[in-house]
Amino acid sequence: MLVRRLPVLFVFALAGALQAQSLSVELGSRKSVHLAGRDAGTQLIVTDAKQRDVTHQAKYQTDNANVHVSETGYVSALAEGQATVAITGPDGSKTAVAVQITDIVRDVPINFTNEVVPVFTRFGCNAGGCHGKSGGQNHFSLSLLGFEPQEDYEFIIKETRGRRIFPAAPEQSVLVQKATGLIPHGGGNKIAVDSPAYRLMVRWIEQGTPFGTPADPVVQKLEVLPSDRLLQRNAKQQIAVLAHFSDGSIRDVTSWAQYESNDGETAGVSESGLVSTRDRPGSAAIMVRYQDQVAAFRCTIPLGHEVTKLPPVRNFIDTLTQKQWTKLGLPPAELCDDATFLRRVTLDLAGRLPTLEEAQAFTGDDKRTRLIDRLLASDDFADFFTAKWSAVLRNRKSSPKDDAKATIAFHGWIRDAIQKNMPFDQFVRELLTATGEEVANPPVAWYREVKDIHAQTEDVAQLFLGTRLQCARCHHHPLEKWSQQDYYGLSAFFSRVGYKTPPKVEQKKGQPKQPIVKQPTHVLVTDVEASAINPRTNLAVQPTVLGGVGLDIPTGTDPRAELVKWMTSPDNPYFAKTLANRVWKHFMGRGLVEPEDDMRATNPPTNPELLDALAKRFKDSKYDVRALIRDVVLSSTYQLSSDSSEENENDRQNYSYFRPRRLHAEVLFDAIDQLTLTKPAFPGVPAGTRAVQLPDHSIESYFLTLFGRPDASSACECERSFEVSLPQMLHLFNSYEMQAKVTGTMPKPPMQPSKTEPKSKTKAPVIQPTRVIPGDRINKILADKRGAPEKIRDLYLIAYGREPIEKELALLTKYVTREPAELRAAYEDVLWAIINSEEFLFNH
Amino acid sequence: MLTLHANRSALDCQGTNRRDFLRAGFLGLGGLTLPWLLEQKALAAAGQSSYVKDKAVIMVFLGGGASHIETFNPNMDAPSPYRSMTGAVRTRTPGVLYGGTFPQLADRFDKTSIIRSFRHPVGNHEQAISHVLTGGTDPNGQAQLGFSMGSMYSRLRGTNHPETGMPTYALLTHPHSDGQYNTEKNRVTIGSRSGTLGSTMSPFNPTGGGTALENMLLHISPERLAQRRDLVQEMDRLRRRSEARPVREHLSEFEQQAVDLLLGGAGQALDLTREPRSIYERYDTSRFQIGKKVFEPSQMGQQMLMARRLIEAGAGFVTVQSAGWDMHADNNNPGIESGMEMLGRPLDKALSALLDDLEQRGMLEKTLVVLTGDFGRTPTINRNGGRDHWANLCTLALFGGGLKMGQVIGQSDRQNRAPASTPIGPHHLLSTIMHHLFDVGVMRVSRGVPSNLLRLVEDHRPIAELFA
Repeated sequence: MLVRRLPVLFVFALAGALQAQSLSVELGSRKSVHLAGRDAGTQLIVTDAKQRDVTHQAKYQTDNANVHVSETGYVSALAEGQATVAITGPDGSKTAVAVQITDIVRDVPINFTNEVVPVFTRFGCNAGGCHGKSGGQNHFSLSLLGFEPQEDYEFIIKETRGRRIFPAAPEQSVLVQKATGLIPHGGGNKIAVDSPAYRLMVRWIEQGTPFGTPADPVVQKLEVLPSDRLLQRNAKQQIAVLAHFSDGSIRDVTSWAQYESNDGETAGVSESGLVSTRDRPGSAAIMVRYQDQVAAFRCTIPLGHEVTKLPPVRNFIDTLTQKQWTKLGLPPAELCDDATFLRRVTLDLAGRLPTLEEAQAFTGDDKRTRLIDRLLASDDFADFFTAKWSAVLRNRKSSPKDDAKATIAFHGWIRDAIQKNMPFDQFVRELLTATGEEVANPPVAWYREVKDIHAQTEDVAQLFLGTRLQCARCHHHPLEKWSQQDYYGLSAFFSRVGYKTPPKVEQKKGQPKQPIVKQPTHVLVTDVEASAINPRTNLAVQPTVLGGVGLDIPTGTDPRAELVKWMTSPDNPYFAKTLANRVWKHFMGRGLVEPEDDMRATNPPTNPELLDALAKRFKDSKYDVRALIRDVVLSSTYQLSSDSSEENENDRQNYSYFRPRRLHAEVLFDAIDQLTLTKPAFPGVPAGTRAVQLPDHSIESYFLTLFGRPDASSACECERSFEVSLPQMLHLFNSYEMQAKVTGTMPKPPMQPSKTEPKSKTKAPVIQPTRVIPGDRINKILADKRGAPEKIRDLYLIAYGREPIEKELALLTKYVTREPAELRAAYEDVLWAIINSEEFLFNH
Repeated sequence: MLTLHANRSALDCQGTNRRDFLRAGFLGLGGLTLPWLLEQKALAAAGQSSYVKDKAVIMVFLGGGASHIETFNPNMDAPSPYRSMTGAVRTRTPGVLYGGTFPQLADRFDKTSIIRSFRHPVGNHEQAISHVLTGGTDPNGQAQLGFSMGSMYSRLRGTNHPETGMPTYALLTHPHSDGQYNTEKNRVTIGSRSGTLGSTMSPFNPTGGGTALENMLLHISPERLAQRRDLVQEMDRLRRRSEARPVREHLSEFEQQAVDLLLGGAGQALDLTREPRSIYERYDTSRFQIGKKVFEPSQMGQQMLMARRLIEAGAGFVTVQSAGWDMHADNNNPGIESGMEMLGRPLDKALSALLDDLEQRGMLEKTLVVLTGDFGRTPTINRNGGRDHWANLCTLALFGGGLKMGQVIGQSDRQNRAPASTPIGPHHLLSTIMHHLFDVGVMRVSRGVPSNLLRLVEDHRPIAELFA
């Protein structure tokens, strides 16, 4: 009976595969499935007629014992020969796939790099927190993520007199025993006895621990199956990974690859490559890494609503966002009202609240466009964007000995450039090729703070190329193709940067000691050979642009000029996109690539077409930053209301409504001053200098620190924090600083020393003095002879850029009018309440 | 979230005037609202907080990694590099010795349990600090996973004390003059994070600089704060639109915490000038100058005193951060001998003052003091007279808490290299601390306890000798 039934089933399955195309198996670029070698296997990817993944729901049956198929669709080779796997989908549809199995009888020599090292990577042995960190773990080190197999081989075979390997009884090798936890292992029991990884290690030792030959194939690229897919929310998708080798062979490495999602809140991924989408619409990329290759699986998760009402198309931005919304079935919000727009765009462009006059005068045709143009041309725009660039260009006095003049001059230079809308390529050129003395040529101050060649390389890559190259300084970049060779190639452009050292003043005996004065930074171009040493190979690397070939730079020329030439050339793939993405993030709250300075193949933009279009527009305009900004704020996309709907409230990536955000630290500080009419007085700058205008990020202010002002100690925009915290609330509710602003009087000195104060020589806990300055608004209000409703209307216009609604007016009028004796206190309360209201603290 | 105005039906924007506001606000504190509020909180908490014991933890964290040898395992029978370089002092228990800079702590061995088999696998500062402070929930210290033990306490206990409003989890650091010390401070801040538990479980850091301390002392009358808060809530309510909720959520939680804290008067607790002079001086370590490149007076005494006051005011988990214990004898750090002299002495004074003070106030039974750091230090001495990182044997001592004290738990090997008895790791420390703070039996049957947290408490045994 049994003998008869098998062929029947076989024929039936094949017939099913031929007839109905309803169930399909993704083979990718393979013509058929071929499993070569012991422990070879492949992950089947089964898709139903509706393009849904049913890999984990399907039933698998084989016609013989040559292979084993797990419930999750993983086929493992068991014996040489052929096999057919019959697959039945959850809806009963059928298909089959033929599998050829070879190299089981004849055991092919194992290649250490291609097979053993991936085991260490897969189980985290060579991760940065374990044996992969420099110096290793408990005297056993491996190269980080297996990027240096030759070293790994020596660590395992030769170190500690070869005790890690025991060829006479491979299972007894320390390497195997530790990994399986048979002898105590701090990292735990990583590999199960008799699992494929275990068998592989044992087999490798049995074979005499071969390393492989130079003729052995190397992995050239990865192929992910499927490469992209439309997924439902809360759905699952299994992915498979094929490695293409230099000899043309293809091997399934699904169980050896590593997976990582670029947006875990949209889609997560398991160790075995099972992708699970969450409750959010949008897109996510799953990065796949195997050896030094990376690839990505992209999934798009539509919401599936009908999109009928779309805001008007104002420019190319709207065309592309609307395309995305329609594709995702994500209905966008409506356009915001005029008052909201006025406050939003003034905060975003000028870093301040709209004035009373601006709020009153915001009428007439085309008012939004006119407002945008006026703000773009204003001094406030220059101030605000200078603060932004000044932070990432690390303009700060890092030591008290630094000359404040240089900091101020650099700040002034940036501001000047922004005010006259210097083309961005020119800005970068003048900055990076700066030479001379710091005050005379202000951008030299960048080289004062970013002194060492590594910092220069990394900052430039991060700021202008959107690439985080830091990792590649000490090892191959784990998420990118960049190696140390690339890192030092870029470094080499800075190899001729020299600093003029002042002559040493001879200290004569008997004379009073001269105070040490820090000399101004003076940058010059030396004529040393333009190259940097790659510490891995110990060989000099010529200046090489990312992904390019080495350049021969003659003596007497500045290699930095060559770098800038490449950066700003129209076909540079990074430069324009990086700035476009930064601008986009400033106004939309989230970069098209997030984080905005970490652009890589494995972290793709959420709307690639839009990023390309923005970059193209920026290039076409000859790097006109202001024109780019104008396009963004003019778009309907920027002007959407912050009211989300039930349909789109989970959207984080597609800008279907305006996500409210807390004001920047400096902007909030200034806004409170603007409301309370307080004249700021920061130390070391002219009185009246607003927080946004501060030329130096090291100027002390507890308020600004508390609300997340960046420290300007790195090139990362991420230094700025928009978080909300308990100490912030305490400060807004109850600090002397706020009290003075609200009440217009100096509060009692903080922390009156009590009688019981210990007479110790040092003070009790350190409390830095803050400048407590009374505001003048309260006096203005009390002197104003108009009625309460008019005064409240004005306060609303100043604070929120809008008129109060009837109920609000009634509430506050009643609050302030019924107790004439306590008028002052009542208005103080109102000012306090406005500052602490949600509408004030956020940009909506 | 409970709000102050939530039960006042009288609050109607059309029909109230300032007098009404005043009265309501006044009643809010004098007669009706506050007790009601507390009662509501008690009711809300009843479902889950019956497992909360009246216990507290002060975690004294010696950043940089204090030597296990020169503190509590001087190993004086061993030859030179393996024994304490600062000599040893006797305790009253024959055979138990302390490192030479701890005479006062040695006198208090009866209140102490020394763990000599504490180890973990992480040998870098930042990672080790995260690993230890998270009780091993951050397995490799990469700060991607896990959360600090304090945040876990805060999650299980509630973020603020129901009566005083004091945040239940506090971290005491202060800005240092020495750059290296600041780096160490930042590492402890990272290790004290709330991580995957969410930012509301972050530690409250009143001494972090600025005016944080004085902001906690209410400058206006409580009635007036209540009125203002009513006003702003009413304004927010009138404007409320259909904006995405998450934006607002944390803001209102923190607002509520701030109000609780200000009205509960917890800020008074932080004013050290209220402490009698004799007590203050008993703690005071400001005559000890500490640092490497720049020196500053040691604030350890003040921090310990602050920790005690915080516990009195309702905090349950206070981390005290100390820096400078990375005694490599290099550019940034002193060697073992001079370093222990510089930092060991103030620790000896401050910690013994804390133990005495807690005992005199009857708080020692309630408060478990934990002394640990990044890791221990190499049993060998480097060529400059320093000891380097050594996680295979780490420093750990526990004091008070109503647990069994006056004992040495576990053994190290002869050369102070590794545990010679069953190793104790950060997971065991977490379990020990949680068993001290909570009634785990009740917790197991309480609703609303996240199963992953319960599993953490139960997966590893607490250190058995302490509960004997």
